[in-house]
Amino acid sequence: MNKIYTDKQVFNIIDDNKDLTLSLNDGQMVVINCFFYQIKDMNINIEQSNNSYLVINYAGYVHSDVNINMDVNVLGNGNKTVINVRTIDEKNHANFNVSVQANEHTINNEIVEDLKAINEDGTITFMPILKIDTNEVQAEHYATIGGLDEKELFYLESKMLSTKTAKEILKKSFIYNLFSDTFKSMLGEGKEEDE
Amino acid sequence: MFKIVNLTAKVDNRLILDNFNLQINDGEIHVIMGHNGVGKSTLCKIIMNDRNYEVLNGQVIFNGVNLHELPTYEIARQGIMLISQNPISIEGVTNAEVLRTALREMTNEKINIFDFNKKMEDICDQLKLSKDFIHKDINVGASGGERKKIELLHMGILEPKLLLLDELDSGLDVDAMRDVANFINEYHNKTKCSILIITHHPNIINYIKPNFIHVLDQGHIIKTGDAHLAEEIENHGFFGVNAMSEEGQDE
Repeated sequence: MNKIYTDKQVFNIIDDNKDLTLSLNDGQMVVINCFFYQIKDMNINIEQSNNSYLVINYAGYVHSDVNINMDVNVLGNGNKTVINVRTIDEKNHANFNVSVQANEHTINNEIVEDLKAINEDGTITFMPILKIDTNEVQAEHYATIGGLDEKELFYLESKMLSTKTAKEILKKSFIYNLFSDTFKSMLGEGKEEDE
Repeated sequence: MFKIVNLTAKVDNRLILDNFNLQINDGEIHVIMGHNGVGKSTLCKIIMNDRNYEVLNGQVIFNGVNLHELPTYEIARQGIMLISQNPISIEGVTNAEVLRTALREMTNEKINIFDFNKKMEDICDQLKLSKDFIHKDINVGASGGERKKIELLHMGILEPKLLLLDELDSGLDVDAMRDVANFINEYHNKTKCSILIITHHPNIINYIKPNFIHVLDQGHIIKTGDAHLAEEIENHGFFGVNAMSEEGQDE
């Protein structure tokens, strides 16, 4: 049966790297959208009690060496935690430590960490950490670092798009596709204007 | 005019094309047929300078321009368009965005959104394709037949001079095949574009009438004929046609 969350909050963060600390109430749903034209060092610390649903969508471009730490502590039961990261690094070093802890004696929690990066000439380190102190948790983590899809590049170039433009379009879709249309419109995306 | 001269190419250390030659005059429709795995689709990708294939020798020339000195997008801007057998999908990139960006890059002019959208909608009507696809991500959620129609929508906007149709009929039901063929025939009649159709089944020839049919085998064309060659292939198969052409050579 699908859970219904009557208490829903959305945090939209654009280019603000102030540390974020949050505790979710029982039964609360929180979506944190973070977008950075230039990612800077940041710490995110979240606690989940019972029957809460946390989604973190974090995306942006690396233009200098950075360290990002995300720490989620699941204290109770029946929680869902989803962390999505999308980043593009052209020539710097980026460290992402993403940790979710499911504490002892907790049950019926679900955790998903999905970390993806396009790395052109820099170094990206993903540390997807699952600290599981219980036998009753469903947890998955994915970390993918690669380049742009060659087939997609060829396809766009065969439609007359220059290599440079094709790469820009693919990189932009990689980053922006993480977000809802509402947040994308806050970033000025998805509008078709007379040129 | 489009000309391939003594083209030899390989992929993964396997020779695919071996002294391949072909000439398509302006406005002509050519069909290349051959059994599975003989290199027909590869030929199209090599024409578009797909980086996965290595050209060892030969030239591909279109209206006097040597295509292999050009990157893929410049080949496309010369007026050559490839419609693949299985067009890929790209999430996060809409059909409208790609086409608008391509036109803007080509012309360096502002695009009137109203005129652009109207043209897209008119083409969708001709193709019996839902207009929803205009602003949807490329081929995401589209059936095989819809993907082919979306590719033809691109063709209608980008207006190529040479069409490479790779297994166009694959995945199309009878009605979709008719819609697609009608659109291509109308486009051909209006623009006098050249067309190269790649297929392993002669069925498409019932819908788009070619000037010439070629059989590809062992890396090059082994036989050329008109529509009657398609009947020979239907009756004797590719190996039968190959045997007949070898007999001819012995004589």
